[in-house]
Amino acid sequence: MKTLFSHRLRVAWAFAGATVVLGLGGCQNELSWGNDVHVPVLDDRLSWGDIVPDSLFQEGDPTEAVRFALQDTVDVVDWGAVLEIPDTTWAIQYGGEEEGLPEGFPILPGANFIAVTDVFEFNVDPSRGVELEFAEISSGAIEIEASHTLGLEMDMVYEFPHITLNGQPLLFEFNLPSAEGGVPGSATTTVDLSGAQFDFTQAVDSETGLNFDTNMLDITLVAVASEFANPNGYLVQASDSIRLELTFQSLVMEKLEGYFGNWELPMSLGVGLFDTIPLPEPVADFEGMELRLHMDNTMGADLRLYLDTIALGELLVEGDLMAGHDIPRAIWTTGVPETTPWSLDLASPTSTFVQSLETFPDTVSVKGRVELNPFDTSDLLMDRWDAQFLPTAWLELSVPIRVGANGLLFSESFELDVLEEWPGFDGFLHLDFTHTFPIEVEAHLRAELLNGTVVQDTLLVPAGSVPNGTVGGSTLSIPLNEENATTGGTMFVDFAINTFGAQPFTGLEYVRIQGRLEGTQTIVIDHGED
Amino acid sequence: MAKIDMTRNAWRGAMALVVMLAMGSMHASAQGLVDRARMLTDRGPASFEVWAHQRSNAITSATLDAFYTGGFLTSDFLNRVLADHPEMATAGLEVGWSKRWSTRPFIKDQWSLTWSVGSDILTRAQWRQDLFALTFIGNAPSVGRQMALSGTGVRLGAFNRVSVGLEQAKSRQRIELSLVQRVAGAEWGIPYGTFLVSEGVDSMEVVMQTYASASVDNLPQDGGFSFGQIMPAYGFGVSGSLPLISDNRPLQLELEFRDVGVLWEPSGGQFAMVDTSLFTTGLPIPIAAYLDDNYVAEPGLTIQNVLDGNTGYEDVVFHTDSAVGRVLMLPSRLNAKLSYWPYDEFMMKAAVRAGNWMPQPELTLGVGWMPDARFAFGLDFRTGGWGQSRPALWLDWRITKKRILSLDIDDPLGFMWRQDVAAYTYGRGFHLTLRRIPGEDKWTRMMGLDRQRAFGQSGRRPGPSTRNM
Repeated sequence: MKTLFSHRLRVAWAFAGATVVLGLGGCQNELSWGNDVHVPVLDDRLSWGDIVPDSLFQEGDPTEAVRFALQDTVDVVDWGAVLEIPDTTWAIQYGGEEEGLPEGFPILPGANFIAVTDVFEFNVDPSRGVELEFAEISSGAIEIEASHTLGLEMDMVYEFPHITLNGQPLLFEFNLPSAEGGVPGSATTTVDLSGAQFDFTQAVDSETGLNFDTNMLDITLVAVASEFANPNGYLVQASDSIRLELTFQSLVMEKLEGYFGNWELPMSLGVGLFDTIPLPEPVADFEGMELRLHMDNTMGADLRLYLDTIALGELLVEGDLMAGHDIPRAIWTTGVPETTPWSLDLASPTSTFVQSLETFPDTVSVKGRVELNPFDTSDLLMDRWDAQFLPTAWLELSVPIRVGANGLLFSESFELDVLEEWPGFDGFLHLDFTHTFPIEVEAHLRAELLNGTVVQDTLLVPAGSVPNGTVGGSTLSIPLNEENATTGGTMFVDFAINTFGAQPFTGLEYVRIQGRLEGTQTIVIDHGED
Repeated sequence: MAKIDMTRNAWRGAMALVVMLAMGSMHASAQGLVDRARMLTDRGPASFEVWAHQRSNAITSATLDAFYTGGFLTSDFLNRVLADHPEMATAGLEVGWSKRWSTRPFIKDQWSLTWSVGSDILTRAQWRQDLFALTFIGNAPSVGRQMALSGTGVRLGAFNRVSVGLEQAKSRQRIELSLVQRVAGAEWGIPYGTFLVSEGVDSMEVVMQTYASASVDNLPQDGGFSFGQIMPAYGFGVSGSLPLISDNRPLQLELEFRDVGVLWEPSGGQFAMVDTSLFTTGLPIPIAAYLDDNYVAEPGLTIQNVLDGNTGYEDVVFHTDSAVGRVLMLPSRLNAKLSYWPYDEFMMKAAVRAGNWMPQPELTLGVGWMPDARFAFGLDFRTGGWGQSRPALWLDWRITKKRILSLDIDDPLGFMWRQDVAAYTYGRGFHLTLRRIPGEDKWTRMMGLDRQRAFGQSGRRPGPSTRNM
């Protein structure tokens, strides 16, 4: 049985295999047939929300024009210029061309042979009348340079009693090496002032014994003789000199108090407008448009904005916008500003701004000035600045979209690629256009194939209307077959629109394109011998 | 004989329970009907059979020829095919062979050991009319109508079988146990599927539940396919035969069943399934991407996804090469045949054949004539089964004293391939049998001749023949 079983199985295997091959071996020749296909292949819908963010829309009554809304900050002034304290240098020299080092004066080890107390005045522009009472430095430094010809080392001690750093008066020391062989002893050092606080009201006038009110700091300098080349001391020579110099440099203010002076800052603003779609014969009705410039003046200083020119494209805006506009200061309470709302109506009917905008300018540019402290309040010393509360300005735009156009929107040509492996379809791609935009569309399509065939069609889609509940629709049928697809060529498209005047757009308009493939797909079953 | 004697005790023990249960009642009833002839002393019956059937209820020979010949199928041709297409089409292919032996009676001189080997290849396909239309005509004529695809499927299997059992020498009642090997099997089906394109062609809805399985542990890859990747399955079935003869009337009833049992399909085969639905009005381009630099794509399939080949639809296919094992029914078969001889030379018969993956039972009605002691033939009307009504021809030819060659031709016009007369046939088939008959009982009368009549003599012969079913 075992032998029989195995043998029969082998026979069965062979028999079964041969039968399958014979039975399912396939067709004698290539088999093909046409399959009539009607299927939807494309459906896309375009509405305002697809191309304009929701934040730029103000939807209201659907029967009225939707408003295009924009609120964006603008940098009109470089506020950093307000807070600049120029680099200021203090220097003192003994000997040489200056007095102060008597010849033959003995310097003994440990002697404080120089002790200076002086008043340091910052180089603020006197013409602006800047009066500073207090400043907190976010960054900056004191750079010190010292040199001398004496034959001894000295320990230099600098003290700024009205500069506090980490809660302590600023005090620092450094060693100044001895001069040797005719080479002066010199040294430089830098002190970081980040976080330092300046009190400009404590410096004392040595002549009157009274305090200065602003802009002054006391400085005390002591030089202590330490190491000598000659252990018995040093006698000052006629040619000896000492020069000590320090510079406050690159000071950036975190906080500032006092009076910031009266001066002007230039301002400019440029915004691109209708540069994305060049509309043919554009018309617009911006009645009801709102365009306001807002500013939060967080400074404790009054501002006055002068708009010298506003240009919409090439057109200059005329009207009372071109005057000075006062922006009140913030009221500072316990170090926090309380601002007064301020805005300027740029679309005021007393100017030609709106009329100019309806010409579809590509840009809007504003040039002007901001005057600091237009009113003299120098006696009050109540100007305040804190880098944490920067003044901000922003534009608020609300435009009812009532626009129109008439003419050729674009005329383009596209290369038609050759599809070498065409799937064997012969029919049409029907494109159904429906829309509710108040726009009549006329599109001419012309395909010039390399074999000389010209396929062309015109699509005329009537206007729709959301308020009227009408939908414009039309169908474009594009022939798709092997001859067209495998030839290649050029497609020319002319796309024209007509709104018949400025029309209100409700924001609910849409365009829908549906594509249907209708034709015969040839299906080929290859018997596999190729 | 020595080999048979050695296996006698083993089989006696293995089959005792089956024989007692299955044969007890049959034997009792059969005893009243069978002839009381004396015990046979020669070897039992043997046979060798080969058969092949191909049939459909939808595809005519002309259609099949057109598909086979190839070329372009015109829409007129396909529309004619569709017009005659039933709602649910079926097609089947059966190919097989079988060899049977029987020993001399050795249990109280009444029971013989019988065994057989054979192979079958079965293929069953069924499809909806809508699927045929969708595939060969297209959906254009059916726009606005939901097309049903449910119930479509294909099943293939190749089986080997070895059977061993006992046969009662006089009554020819037989019971046997079969070991069935499914060499290979594959199946694909759409339990539920619909396709709808709306009127106006502005939306399409496809619902698809489909599965496929194959008894291979690896899919054919670039490296080719080897038979070692096929995973056979095994099962057991019971087969048997219950012939009954009337003592008083020239009637004979033969009941036969084969491979009633189950098959254990091992785990590790391939299984894939898709259960998804798609509704679309078309795919977006999307236009907004060309107008808005900051466009953020909406989730979902776009035309660009299709062009880029990243549709993500491969994720809807669940596929595993570690399918769980399962228990399946064997392709069982049941035959019942009633024969009646109003005259010695003339017979009438009615037969029913069911199972074997056929979509419906096959009914046969026919007449036969034996003009000569060595030759008989008949004409049947056959309907059901794999489909459509058709004629069938049969003949028995006694080529030697103990051997009869039988041939049954199902739908003989179907063999006139590419002839006009075959154009509207729906299939073809044959069943060739070579039998060795043990003589000297009434089972061997007619073509088998009884013992009172010498081989080759003419004249009236009482009783039925033993033409195999």
